[in-house]
Amino acid sequence: MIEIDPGSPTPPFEQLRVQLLAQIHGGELASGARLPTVRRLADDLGLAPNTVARCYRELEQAGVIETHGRNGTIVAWSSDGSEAELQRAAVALVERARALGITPERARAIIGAAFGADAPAAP
Amino acid sequence: MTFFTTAIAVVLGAFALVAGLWTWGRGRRFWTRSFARSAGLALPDALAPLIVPRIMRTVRASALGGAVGEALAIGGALLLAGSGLPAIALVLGGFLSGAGVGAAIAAVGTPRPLGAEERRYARGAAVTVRDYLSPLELVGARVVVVLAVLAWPAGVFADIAGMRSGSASSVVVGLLVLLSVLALVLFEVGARRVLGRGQPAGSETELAWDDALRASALRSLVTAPLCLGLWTTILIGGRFLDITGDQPPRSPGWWVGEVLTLASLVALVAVLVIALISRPQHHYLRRLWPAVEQQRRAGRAAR
Repeated sequence: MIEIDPGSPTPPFEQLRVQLLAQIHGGELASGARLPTVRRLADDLGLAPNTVARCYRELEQAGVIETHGRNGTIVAWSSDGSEAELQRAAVALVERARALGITPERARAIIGAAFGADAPAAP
Repeated sequence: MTFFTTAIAVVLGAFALVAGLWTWGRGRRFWTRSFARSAGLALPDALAPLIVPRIMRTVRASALGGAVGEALAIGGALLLAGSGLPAIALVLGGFLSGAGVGAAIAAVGTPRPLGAEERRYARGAAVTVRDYLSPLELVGARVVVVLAVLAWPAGVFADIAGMRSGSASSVVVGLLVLLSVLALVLFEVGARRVLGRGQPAGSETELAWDDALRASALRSLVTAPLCLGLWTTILIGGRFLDITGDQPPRSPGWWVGEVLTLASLVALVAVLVIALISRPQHHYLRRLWPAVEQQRRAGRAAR
């Protein structure tokens, strides 16, 4: 269940993002589960559609959800196996990179460098 | 119309009238308790001002819809001089279809606006009609209507072969097939509209009640195609048996009728038995509110 508290000092966008992530990581929203449409969730939670769309976009960039056009948005993250562990680490890495103010391009370059010579050179 | 058909029409009409008018005072308490029991949810006092008017609106709209549907069906039966089982099925089908449409209209009303400082609750996953209706009802309605449509040409052929082409009952059976298809289309369209309505909720309990009202409206809506499809298939099967007779040598038509009728009767009994055991009215709880359903079962087991 997602709960948005308009009186909370945490912005609604962050409340939504954190709760969706927690539900996905906790298995409440399993891999393949369909998320509500942006408009539906925005209407139900009394948020601007742009707020929900931005949240979905961020989760998609983190590889947690996938948008399949008219087929809607589904959970891509799975709690099974080593890939799931790697996905968890990736999400943590992305969050850490954001907290440190590192751009996605720079973060990708750093990961690539860690993998070896086939990575693009860091600027 | 026979005496029996008229009696059924009068009873249904009286029920619709009483149900529609008896939504104040004691009637209000009766329908609320009855709905809460059927939904498997307790209604907290704080939530009653929001939920009770919606229940009453559903009861009134179902009663009015049922009465209108029944009146139209009686008109159809009189116009086509239908009698016997097809006329009874038509009247019941008209009532169920109208009641379903009424319940759906009540369910798609404008959602209440939430206060600016009110907390908001929503489900993280999208819901579909499968979350509110058991496969027995959802798939069953589609299957029996398709079966009725497929059986209809065979029924017409049997009528012609039996030299009863154009008889009033044959036309009424045709009308029943048409009504089954119409009821299924109404269900498919109505279900989309009901699910398309927003679910703004100020608490988890309010959201659960909204789900209960949705499930109830969808179940009302699916009952008409389910019953009409089943009755029509049984009637068409029965006509094969009527026309071809029971004396050997038995014609292929007799066997078609036998299989159709028996299969429909077995399906009818299976539907009733499974409905009694599985409690399809609590399907939405099992799918969307498993913790509430567990508590409810534990409470029942403790009693």
